[in-house]
Amino acid sequence: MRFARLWAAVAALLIAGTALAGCGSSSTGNSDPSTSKGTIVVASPQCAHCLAMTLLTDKVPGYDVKVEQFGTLTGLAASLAAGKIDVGQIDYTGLVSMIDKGLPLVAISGQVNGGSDFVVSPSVDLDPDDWAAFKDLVLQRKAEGKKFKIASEFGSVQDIELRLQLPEKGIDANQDVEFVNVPYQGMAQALQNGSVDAAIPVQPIAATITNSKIGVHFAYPYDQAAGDLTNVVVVNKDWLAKNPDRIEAVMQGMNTLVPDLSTPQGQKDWAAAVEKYTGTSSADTTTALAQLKPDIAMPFSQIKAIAHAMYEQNLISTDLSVATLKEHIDYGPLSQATGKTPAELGAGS
Amino acid sequence: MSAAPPVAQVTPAGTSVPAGGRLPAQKKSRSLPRAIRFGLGLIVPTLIVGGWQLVVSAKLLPSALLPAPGKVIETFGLWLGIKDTPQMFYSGHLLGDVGATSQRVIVGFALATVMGVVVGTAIGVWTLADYLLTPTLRVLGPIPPPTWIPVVIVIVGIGQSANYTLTFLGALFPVVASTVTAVSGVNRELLRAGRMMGHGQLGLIAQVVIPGALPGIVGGLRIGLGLAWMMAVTSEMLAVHSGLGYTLWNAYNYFDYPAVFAAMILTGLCGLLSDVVLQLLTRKATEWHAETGVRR
Repeated sequence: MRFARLWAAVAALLIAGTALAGCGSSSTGNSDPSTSKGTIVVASPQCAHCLAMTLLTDKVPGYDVKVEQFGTLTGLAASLAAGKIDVGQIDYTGLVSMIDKGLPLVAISGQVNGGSDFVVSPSVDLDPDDWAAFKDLVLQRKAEGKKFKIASEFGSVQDIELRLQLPEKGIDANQDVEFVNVPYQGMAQALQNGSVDAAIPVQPIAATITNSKIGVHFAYPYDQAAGDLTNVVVVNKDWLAKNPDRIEAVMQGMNTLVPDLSTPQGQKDWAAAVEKYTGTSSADTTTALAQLKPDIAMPFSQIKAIAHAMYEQNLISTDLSVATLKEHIDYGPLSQATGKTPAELGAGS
Repeated sequence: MSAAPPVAQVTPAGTSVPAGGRLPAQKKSRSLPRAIRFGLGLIVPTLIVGGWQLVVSAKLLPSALLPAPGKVIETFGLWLGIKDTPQMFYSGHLLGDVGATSQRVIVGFALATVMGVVVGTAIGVWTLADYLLTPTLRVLGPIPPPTWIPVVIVIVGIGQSANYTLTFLGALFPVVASTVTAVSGVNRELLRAGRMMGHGQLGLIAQVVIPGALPGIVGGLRIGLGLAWMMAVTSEMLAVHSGLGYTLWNAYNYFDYPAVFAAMILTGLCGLLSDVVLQLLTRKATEWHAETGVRR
């Protein structure tokens, strides 16, 4: 009985402590409330690229910005489509999937690209970028009936990039290798215990893997039609139509944020956000940020390449036409904020 | 020879059932024709589907996020292979997916049943086992099974063994908990009677404790089976190429909500079917308990 009471006391203390510690999980802007015209809710997932959005809070003139963190891109996109948040940062494969499903979303700005790293197990004896040797190894393993296994989070930009990259190097992504669906968080373990031969993680997980020598950098999978496109900022179509002032303010904020990310102070603030939200070490964060490329443009031809690749992989139901894609990408607000022409921002066919 | 007079039976719970075996109330409720019982069971699902269709028709949410029931049925056709276009990654894979997940559930759940009943019985019977194991189980029990994924990858790697392990972990704790409770609650009079009949410790467990605890254990098994389905589907986000969860998670990643809904419904139906099978398999051993219940 005394034992049970002890347990109850310990449990009550733990629960109370956790409840207190859990208070307040989102960040808000620090603009003067007396001059604020309202609050804009911005949402992003928790990859290194994505956490740059937390720095938007003091860069949107006239508005408070509340940043919500989402564990999954799908949850974020669903909230955005349902009108629960105002501005969302997703990845380009998410954008294409949502266009295919007819969700009323419009891309308004690029954000940060890059951040994919094709890493191999240290036991795989390959020099970086030696694709000829890689191809030989893959074909040899296939002939032996032990296909080369690559851990990849299905549905991610990294997954699509590698599936596009391999054919460029003469490797059939569906026949010659075996893609194994492993969440980013499980890739280090899968490499460590030899369950897979390689992985295609995102930053900062990729940095953790390479810095801890669990995996070795082999190549960046950007030598294909989709390039290194990663993140894009989207809004609900209705919200875009009804809130021109807010859109203008958000675009001004993005136009300040994205160039700022490349400055020493911007890098420092960005690193602090990554370390705070992901618990990544300072060394890994530095490695991760070095691989990321802030870019406000939305290169249409590469978006089209991603959409076509996803159709070829039976991941979306239609081969999206140029017209359909264009309906969901608006260069107008970005052009106004940056003073650049849509063509300079990636518009085209 | 005259027929023996009807005698009241004593159940493992120590209660008596009147001669003839069934209480009048149960007799009445069980006399409902099968068709009516089936019809009653369909009322709530029909209301849910009707409400769902109403919400879709009222356009309260984008149709891409909440597809109409008809669209989900169409997706079933695509998944089954009856419908050809559009060609999706799951086209024609339905039966294979059901088979793959069922296999994972059966293996994981069988392991959890054996381990759960053994550990639960040990804790319920021996104080030392209780002190030794209960604190650990209380700490491990509330941990959400998906968070075991990285640990399981390290220990058993990826592939089928990881899926079996995760399904096992999902089902284990309710089976242990229900077994402990059921074993601890076995009537002391029965234990005394068992000892008087000359049973040793193991004989008592096999002949008295387990049969007496079986209704409670079966309750835990039913909860564990549901969780096994839940965990098998969850674990299929990891390193597999088939299964309901494989289809569900991929469809979820690509915003294919009709396929997500179809996979959810099919998982539920498979869970229902497996629960019916479990009930049939355990009915004989627990019939005495049903007949002493209070349900009308």
